[in-house]
Parts: sequence; structure tokens; C-alpha cells
Amino acid sequence: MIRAAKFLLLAMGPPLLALSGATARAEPEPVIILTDTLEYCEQLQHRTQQWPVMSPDVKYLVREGHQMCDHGEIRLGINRLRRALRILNHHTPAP
Amino acid sequence: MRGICCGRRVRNQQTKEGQGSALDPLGPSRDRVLRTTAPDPNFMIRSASLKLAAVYGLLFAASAFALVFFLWWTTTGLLDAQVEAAIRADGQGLEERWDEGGLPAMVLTIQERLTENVDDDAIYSLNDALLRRLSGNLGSWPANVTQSGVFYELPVTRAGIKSLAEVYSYNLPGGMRLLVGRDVKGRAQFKHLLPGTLLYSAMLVAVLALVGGLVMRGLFQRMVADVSSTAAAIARGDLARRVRRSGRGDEFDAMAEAINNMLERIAKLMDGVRQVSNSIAHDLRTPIARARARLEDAAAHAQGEEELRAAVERAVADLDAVTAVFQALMRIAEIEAGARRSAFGEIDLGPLLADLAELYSAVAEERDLTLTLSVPDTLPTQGDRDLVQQAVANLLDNAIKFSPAGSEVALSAGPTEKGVRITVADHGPGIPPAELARATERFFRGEVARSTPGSGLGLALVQAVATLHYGALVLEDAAPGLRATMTLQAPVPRMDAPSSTPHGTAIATVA
Repeated sequence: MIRAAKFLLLAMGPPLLALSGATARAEPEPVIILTDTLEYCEQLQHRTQQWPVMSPDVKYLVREGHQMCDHGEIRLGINRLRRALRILNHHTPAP
Repeated sequence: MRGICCGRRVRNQQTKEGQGSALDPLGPSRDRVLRTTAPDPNFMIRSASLKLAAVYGLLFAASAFALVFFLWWTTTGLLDAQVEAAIRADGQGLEERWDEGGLPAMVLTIQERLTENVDDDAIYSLNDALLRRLSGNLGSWPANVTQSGVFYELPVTRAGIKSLAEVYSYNLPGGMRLLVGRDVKGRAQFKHLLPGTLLYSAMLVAVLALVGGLVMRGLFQRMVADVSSTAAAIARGDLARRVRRSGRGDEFDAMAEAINNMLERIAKLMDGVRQVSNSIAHDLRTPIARARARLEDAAAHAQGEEELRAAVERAVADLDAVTAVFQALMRIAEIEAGARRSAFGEIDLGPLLADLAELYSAVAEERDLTLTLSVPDTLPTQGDRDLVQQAVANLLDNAIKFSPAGSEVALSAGPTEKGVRITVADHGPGIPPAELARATERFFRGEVARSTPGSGLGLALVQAVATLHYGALVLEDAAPGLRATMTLQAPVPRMDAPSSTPHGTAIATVA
């Protein structure tokens, strides 16, 4: 019985370590991503203005994105603006 | 007194040691039964059912853990492979743009891709030879990314929140460097969420294993309890007790049946021993009492030496009959022990039975009987020549003894599928069907046989011989008469010229 328990612990040891990620390693400094900022949100808003004509759906997305960025929901706002620009790039004639 | 005293002392000592006693076989058993009912502090540790439950629990937990770990390993491996494939495809596309339009095309493409990155997980960085950023969304070139063509895990910050990315770098002409990556925070969260989940799962599995183990233990105990209580009851003297069958037809039912069969066999053997003891006491009392009476009478009333000598000789004859019975009993016991199998050799029943027929033809003739013989010239088998001869002689003795004058006694033999058979048939009164099953018991004498001399051991010896030769003795009603067939199934030797066909089987009338 004791031998079987020891065997089980030895067998399960490596997987447990792997799961817990308990390996000692030096963490490098995090690098900042620049496309989650208010400046980038404004850049995207600026790009949408290059299209004078927009469908109501796209207009709604642009307006929503603008409002979200203004209210601090930067990543959500950027997401709306990206979706608007994707539609504009693929379905609307280039300005 | 001395003997009784010492016997008791020995028995007590053996009981203390937990060994069997030849003087009182029930004593130690009783002790054992009492011992099992006494509280034992180490009983739980030694309990087989507890060990079974523990092994079941461990195996269950190990299996469940291995399964979950395998699922985690394959899932994370698949996610890693998907991310790496996406990064490689993205990087390859960008390299092609570089080949088509150089640096301006590359910058424009990176901007377009970042603009359309609805999933918000793309990471690009195009840097010059001095690692100054030309395009992309990475604040600076990561210090740990030193080699191209290698995947790196990179900690990043997105809107002030820490995240994790997997990146891959390319060397471009002019010393420029490109880095392409994906945010893998979701995968990392999944990867680190699982150990916690596994921990809770392991606790749940442990509880389930414990419950399962206890259920297993209960089942095991319930199944063993009946066998144990039956054994205890038998040890207490209730020899009629049997293990109860559940009727499910499982392994425990098979074991119960095997144990019950064993107990039936033991009971039958004990009955046999009891019956033989009673028969010995009953059958031998008469000749011994007769011898004693003769000697007593001669001592008191003999008129001379002649008369005294005659009385002593008659008493000696009576005692010789007693000795003969004991010898027959010992011979049967010796045969049943199977020790004589070591003396087995090749025997040819053809000439052996012919000699016996010739020997008994004179006796048959005296009683006005016809003894017919139907035996192949050669009938090889393996066995003990003397015992087979004795068995056939017993059968012929019985047949001649009970056959009416003018009738026929037939001795025949031949090969069977597995050995040989020897049959003796007569036209006597036979054995009533109700007595056929008991006819081979020691000292058994049927209604018809009581009036004729004999010890009741002849057929018992024949059956013992047949059993010794892996065969059997079958008694049948020959209407009229009895047909006794003895089969011998010891391995038949190979002979150069086998003669199993009854070419010499012409019925030989020897009387």
C-alpha cells in the first residue's frame, strides 16, 4: 500500500508542477502596447472622417466608438471603430 | 490418569498457540471463532475490505487525475499550435509585402492590419537596425527577444493591465527587424485556471473515491460474511449449515456452490466413515463372539484333546475370517489412496481374462453354469495387473454365487473411446433398483445377499480398482440378472500391431 502511494505521488509530481507553473524564472519587464490608448482611438476616429458617406450601421458604430473612448471605455471604443473601418475598407469606395 | 492429564496439557498448549489439536478437533476451531469475535485494535488496518477500498480509491483518483491532465495537455497544446500557425502566416504575409514594396508597403500593411484587428490581439513592431520603432503597436523592442526564428513569451501591458504575448521575430534587409505576435492572455488564463480547477476536482474525486471505496467495502463484507458465518457455524458443530446463494449467478455464487459441494463431499465421507465403523463393529462382533463362545465351551466341556483341538481350529477359522475382512478393508484403503498408480504398467487383458475364465470354469461347472468368454486376443491397457485380476475375480465370484443352476455367466471385454471395458453378466436375482446406488458401499448387503456368505466388500473393492484406473463400475439390471461393467481409462500404450478388432472374439465356452 505505502509503495503504491509513493509511486502515485512520484508519477503525479511532474504534471502537478507543470500545471502550477511553479518553475523559477526571471520575468522580463512588460512592454507597453500602444493600440489601447486614447491617442490611438483618436487616430481611428480621424481615419473614419476620410469617408464622407457612410451607411447608417457604420455611422452608428463610429458614434458609439467615439462615445466609449470619451467615457474611458478605450478598448471597447477602439473595437467599434475598427469594425467600422473594416466595413468602410471593404464595402465602401476608397475616399 | 496420567495420560488424561498429559493430553489436556498438550491440548491447552496447542490452543494457546492457535494450532490444531489431534485430541479435540473442535477445540481450536471454537477458539478461533471466539477470537474473531473479540475486539482487535488492529483489525481495521489488517482488514482486507479496507485495503480493497483504499486500492479502489487510489486507482479511481489516479485515473481521474490522469484523464484531466491529458485533456489539459492536449487542449493547451492545440491552442499553442493555433497561435504559432497564425503568427507564422502573418509574418510570411508581411515578408511578401516587403518584397513587393519595401519599407513603405510594410508600414502601410502593419497599420492596415492593426486598424482591422477587431479581436484586439495582434502585436507588430517594425524597427530599424538601432531598434528604433518605425511602425507597429509595441512601445519598445523587448530586451529578451534577441534571436530571429524563435518563439518568445513576452509580458506586455495593455491599457495598464498586465497580459502575456507570444512573439516571433524576423530579420529584414538593411538590419531592420520585424516582430509579429499575438496576445495569449486568454490561453494563459485557461492554463493557470486549470490547476485550481484540478485541485477542486481532485478533492471531489477523493470524496467520490472514498464513498466508492466504502461501498466496495460494504459489498465485499456482505459477500464474505455469509461464508464466514457458515464456516463458524460448522466449526460450532452445525454440520448441516451451507453457504447461501444470492441467485445472481456471479463469481460469489460459483464460490458458494464450490464450498457447498466441498461440504457435501466432506459430509458424505464422514457418513461413510461412520457407516464403515458401525459395519465393522456389527459384522465382526458375530464371528469374534462365536469364536469366544466356542473356546469357552471347549474349555468347560471338552472331553478330550481331540475335541479341544477341533474347537480351537474352528475358532481360528472364525478369526481368520475376521482377519480377511480387515485385510480387504486395508486393501481398499490402499487402493483408494492411489499410491499403487506408481506400479502401473502395460497389461494385456486378452490373455489375463482368458486365464481367469479358465480358472472359474471349473467352479461354474460344479454349479452347473456356463461361463462364456467374449474377449479380443489382445486388449492392451495401463494398470495394475494384480488388482484388475482381483476385481474381475470378485465380479465372477458374485455372478457364480447368485446365478441359478443351468444359467449362463458371460465375461466380455473390449475397447472403448477412452480405454477398455470388462463386463460380467449373469441371470441371477440381480439387485433391486433401490439398492443399486448403495451396492458398492463397504459392508452393504442387499436383501437377496443377506442369506449368502460374504463380507459385503467385493463390489467396494471393484469400484476402488476402477476408480484407481480412472474408470468406474456401472451396475445395471440385465433383466433378469445383473450386468456389472468396469471401465478402465488409464492411458493405453501404443503397440506395434494393434489388435483391437475382435478377430479372436469368437465366444469361447469354457464350461
